Amino acid sequence: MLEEKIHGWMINYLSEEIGVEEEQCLKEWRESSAENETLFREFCREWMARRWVMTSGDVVPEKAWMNIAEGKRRRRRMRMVRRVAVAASVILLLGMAGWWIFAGQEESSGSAPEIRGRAVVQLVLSNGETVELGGLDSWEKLRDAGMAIVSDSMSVRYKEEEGVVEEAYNELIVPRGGEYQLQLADGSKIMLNSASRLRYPVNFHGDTREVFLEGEGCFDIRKDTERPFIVRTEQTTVYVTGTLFNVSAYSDDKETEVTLLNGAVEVKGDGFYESLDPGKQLVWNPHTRSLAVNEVNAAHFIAWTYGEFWFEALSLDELLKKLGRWFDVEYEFRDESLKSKRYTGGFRKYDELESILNAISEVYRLSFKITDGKIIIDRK
Amino acid sequence: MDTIDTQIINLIQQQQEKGIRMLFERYYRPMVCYARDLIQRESVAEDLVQELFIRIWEEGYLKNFVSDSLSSYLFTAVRNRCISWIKKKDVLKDYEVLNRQEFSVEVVSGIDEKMLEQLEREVEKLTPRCRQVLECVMVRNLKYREAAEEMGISVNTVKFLLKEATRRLRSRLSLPDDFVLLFFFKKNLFLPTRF
Repeated sequence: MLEEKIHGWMINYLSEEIGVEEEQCLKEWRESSAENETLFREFCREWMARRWVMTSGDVVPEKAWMNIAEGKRRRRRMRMVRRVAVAASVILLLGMAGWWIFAGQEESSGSAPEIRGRAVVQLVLSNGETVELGGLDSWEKLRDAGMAIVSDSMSVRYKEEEGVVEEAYNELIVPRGGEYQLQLADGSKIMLNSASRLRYPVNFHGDTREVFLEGEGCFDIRKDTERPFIVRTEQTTVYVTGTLFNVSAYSDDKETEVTLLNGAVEVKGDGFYESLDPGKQLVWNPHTRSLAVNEVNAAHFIAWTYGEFWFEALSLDELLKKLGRWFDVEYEFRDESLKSKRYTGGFRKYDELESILNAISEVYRLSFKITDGKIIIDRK
Repeated sequence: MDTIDTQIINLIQQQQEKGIRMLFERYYRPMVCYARDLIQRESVAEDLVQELFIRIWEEGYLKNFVSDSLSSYLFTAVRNRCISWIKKKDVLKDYEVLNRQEFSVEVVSGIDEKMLEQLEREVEKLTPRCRQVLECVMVRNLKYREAAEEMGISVNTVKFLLKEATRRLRSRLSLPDDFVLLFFFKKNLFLPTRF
């Protein structure tokens, strides 16, 4: 058994509240015998394990195992950590200059990640009341319709608290320049991109789990065959049982895109009903009424959830639109012919807008100027 | 290496998939938690660990395992992957985390799923105040003063509650020899945490 004092020192040490003198005493005690050092390590171990127990309630082992088993079978490397090495060799084959410029940028930007993507989001509760969430150092705990809602600067999580009676909806609104994650009562996670909103049920006591999306979200849905998950957007409806997929349905975009990474989804729209396999992407353009299902490197389309941009032969017009949403800036092309030029490459989201624009302008000899939150692009 | 780890290695050598599954059930959650501590990015941490399992399985890393500690091997592998990831991100703050004593492999490699489950039961039995203090100081990294203010108590009470919550110091956990292979899709494998 530990002496009270030493117990106190160790707690102070692990809480990072230890003073210089105490730290010295602790050090001497540890060094005085092997048994003491062992006791110290065991205390640290218990501390870590306790913390892990309190923060790992969202780990879903069945899904993790499915990913592992599937990854083994398909022999595919879709992980962001590997993407840099793989993409570099792929781009070498395509001969796109843009990628080399990205690979050469070693500098980490001066602006800390906190500044970008921590815009305040709004949560609309079932009674219509609006609460602000997110923002640096924030932490909130609310209650609504029998659920406990805990939020911090990056995410909001729902936990069932008491027996729930009625069905209720909340809405999460992410502004331009922001991104936010939502964890529902069943453990499903949804990451929302800038300029997006999602209306969703607070609890799951109905027959379905139905949400309404405008903008872009990456969905990591807990398997529940008895309660299919449905994502409704303006143009399409996506039916899911348990899976990982991305939906891009901005009202100011020409097309709606649904990209599947894992599991299975069915997408319904005006005059079509398609099933997707992992690695497939559905693109629907309601104006031209054209529907396409393509095989894509699906991981690229969730790069935004990992703090990276990936542009796959994207027209500069579309590319600037995406940058505009994330950095919350407007843009204008002085030379219209530049709009349709295509670019392929990736960037860290937390880099400075200027360095990203610099990289792009190397490929197409552009000039750009940023004044008053607006980017002006012209030929050099 | 304890008896269960030895069983796992033997099983991997005979029936790889079953062995990897047993490995997964014992160590997945602790490995993910460790990765999260090092790189502070939840989804990336799970991906890193899943990829490690895939590699172990595909490349047969454990088929000829000779080292004397399976858990050290696993946590070191997690740590190495996190270090690569940190280097790519290249943020100074991340490097500091690696140097802290409590994040060393020697400390964490003693943690397995069984230990987490036992501690989970213990945490649930704590009084709400004790739990709240743990949440403030351990999870949210508040200073004693901040936790005291938030909870409306004195700093000394915060320290006292922390001591209460961490009082039972286990010496070596002895695991039962008849560790049962858990079912493939056992629901509630990891119990949800209640605050």
